[in-house]
Amino acid sequence: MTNRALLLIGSPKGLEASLSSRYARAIGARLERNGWAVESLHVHRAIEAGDDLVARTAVELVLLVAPLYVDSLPAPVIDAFERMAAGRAGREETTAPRLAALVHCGFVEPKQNETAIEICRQFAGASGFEWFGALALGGGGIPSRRVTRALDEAGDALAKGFPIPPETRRRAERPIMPRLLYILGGNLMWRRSAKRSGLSKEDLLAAPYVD
Amino acid sequence: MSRVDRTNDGGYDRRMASRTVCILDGGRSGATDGARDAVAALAAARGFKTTVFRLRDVEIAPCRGCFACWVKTPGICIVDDAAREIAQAVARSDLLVYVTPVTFGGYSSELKKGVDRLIPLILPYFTFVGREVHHIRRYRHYASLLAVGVLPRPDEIQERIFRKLVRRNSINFHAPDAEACFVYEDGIEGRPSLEDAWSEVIEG
Repeated sequence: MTNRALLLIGSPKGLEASLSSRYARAIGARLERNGWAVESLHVHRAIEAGDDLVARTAVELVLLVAPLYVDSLPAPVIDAFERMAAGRAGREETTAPRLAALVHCGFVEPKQNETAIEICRQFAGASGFEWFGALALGGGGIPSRRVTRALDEAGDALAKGFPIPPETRRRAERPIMPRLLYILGGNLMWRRSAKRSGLSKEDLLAAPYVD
Repeated sequence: MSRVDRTNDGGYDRRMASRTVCILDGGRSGATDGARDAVAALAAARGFKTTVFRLRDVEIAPCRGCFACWVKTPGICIVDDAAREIAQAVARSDLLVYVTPVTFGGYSSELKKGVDRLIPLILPYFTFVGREVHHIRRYRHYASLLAVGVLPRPDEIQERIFRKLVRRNSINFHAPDAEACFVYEDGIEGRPSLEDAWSEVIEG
């Protein structure tokens, strides 16, 4: 029997444009290479459409991939967790589905995702999922060999029926560049974005709610 | 609040305003009503002007993650809904209070939909806060943060995660002080009590 995996994409930008979907596709490719059937579901759209999330997550493996929003998960992902926990309450299953999570952020330190991952783990325990580990990535999607390697290792482990290895998570949690360099580069990027919108760097400093 | 800022933020003079508290109630049913009313009573007894947003009654779209509030309409979310009013109330408050069912150690989705839309209150630019990278403040003055978590019963793990989340939020939103406390279903309070947590965050 073919194993089935569901990639839950928790970014508002959806299945095409988001960094979440890029990371999910990388892990999904490793699963497919190992004979898994892989599907993706955009959490925001599923909530809007009133999808039956309990039915959709009745697979062998659920992988949540989401950006960090204010030290936690985006509101619609928490909404999905609440619905799944309520829907799965009291279910009797011979084998608990597995849940793994990848949370990524625009800070250079992947460790800033830690609280969001703890919330995912709590959700797994409260909802009858078997916790299958997590990856925390930082750097806002800047290409990095360390990140690529972590995605490959996580995908291979999950495909073979193992949790994401703790050493893979630990290696991926090292900042991908010096913090000062990240600050300088990031601030330059924001100034350029403002310029593209016809704004000066001073315009960005507006404080509209105290005028 | 021990701090009275002399702010240069626009023309808004904080010294002329009375102390204000903004309460965001993230309860989906009535489970948080008691805690919210207790916070409002504390605020009234101490002379605070109070604004309460019961988020389950407020239409707020999820944050789009578009960063328009940083690089297109600085300081204002591009989505024109009640979240703008909430962000303004928070920006003008001395104390921000979250009242929420503790949900897997974090905030409920009802509260989180409001919190996600507060990012216009900070700038896109990065800086060091301690040894970590965070966003720079947009305003000179920020509210202190008090988070009241409602739980059926004491839960060590969820309470630990919740406290950590509140502490992390206070860093990212530049809250001068932050405190978390818990109220259980039978009305019993954890430690610190709500009143002690209030005093701690207001008086330091």
